[in-house]
Amino acid sequence: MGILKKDYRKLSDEQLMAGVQHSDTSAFDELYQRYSRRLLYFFYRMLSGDEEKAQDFLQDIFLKVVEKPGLFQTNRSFSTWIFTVAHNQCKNEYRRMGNRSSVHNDENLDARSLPENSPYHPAEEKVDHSAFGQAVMNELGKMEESHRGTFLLRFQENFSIREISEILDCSQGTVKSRLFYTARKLADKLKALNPSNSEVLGNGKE
Amino acid sequence: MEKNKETRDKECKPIRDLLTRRISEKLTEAENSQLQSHLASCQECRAFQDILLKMQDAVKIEDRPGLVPNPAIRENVLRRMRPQKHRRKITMHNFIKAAKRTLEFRIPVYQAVLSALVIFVLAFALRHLSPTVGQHVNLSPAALPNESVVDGTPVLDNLNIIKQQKIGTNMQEDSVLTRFVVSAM
Repeated sequence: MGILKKDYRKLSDEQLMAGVQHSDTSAFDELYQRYSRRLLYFFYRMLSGDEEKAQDFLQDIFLKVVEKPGLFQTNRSFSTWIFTVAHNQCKNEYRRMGNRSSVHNDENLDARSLPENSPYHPAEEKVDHSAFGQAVMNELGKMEESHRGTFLLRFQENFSIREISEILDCSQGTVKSRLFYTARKLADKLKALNPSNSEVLGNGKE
Repeated sequence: MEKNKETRDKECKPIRDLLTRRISEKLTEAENSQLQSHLASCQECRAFQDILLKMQDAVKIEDRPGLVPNPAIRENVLRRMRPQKHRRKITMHNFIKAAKRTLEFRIPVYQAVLSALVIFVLAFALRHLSPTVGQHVNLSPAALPNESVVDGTPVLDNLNIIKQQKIGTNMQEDSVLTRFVVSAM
């Protein structure tokens, strides 16, 4: 019987989901393999570094996949569908918390804030990418949920503008303007931390 | 100095807008050339562009030790996976879906079925088109010995090969092909 076994790695997400709809555990395993880490990072960043909650959300979303597989329409793209569900989970969480700004004060984020003697101090020339990454995530965490989500979907998950508009249920123009606003704001906040910028700060044109 | 800064900001702002816009949409040729000529002479805007690029790289999933899905999640979810209770109805739609799934097998079943069919047809042909021991065959009058034909009609129109000992007396010598050819004559 082994020779008749399907090679699940070659199947598309949608074909795997059709398998999950018929309680195929191997199809579920392959989908889990493909999406668990991506979703965990998405939750982790959307929930401002709350790992425990991110793990809970990850379990919830996969439970939804196996318990209500009929919610997925096979004519849709699985990746946009699962991230729509993931984003809605985060939105509900913000709503539950009542005050979106409370997320900004998350203690995990504070712990990851840039210290005084940051490697991005203008005097330092050496680039520490992980610290820069932390600073980006720290600033991103202060943004509104919709802007943060748009930015993560674009640059963490590499979704196109059209796919993001589908996931967030908004127009492509809205996605573009959110990306513009977020990138501009982040860049302005981070330019003081960029070591390659230190030489030119205040110098202006050559 | 203050005026210089103001002038510079006025010049740089639209350029930075273009750099930021480039994240989500394609710029026109005119905008691109405007961008390139400004970037060639403005270090601050080059640094701004550098930040934008680094920022995009920073959010890509990095290997952060410790941040992996909890293995218990997979187990918990699999435990809740509903077993298949009902057989699906046989409809044309399901039949086509099943056929498509079959084509995804490593050894396509349709090839195996076709092969079996060919073997069956060959076996059937051999069984029914060639005489075996004790089988009655109808021979044309021309194929019969002269003494078997009276007024052009075969006396033995249903020839028993064994009884007449015309053919098939020695099975070791009479191949299936020989008997087939003789029967067809």
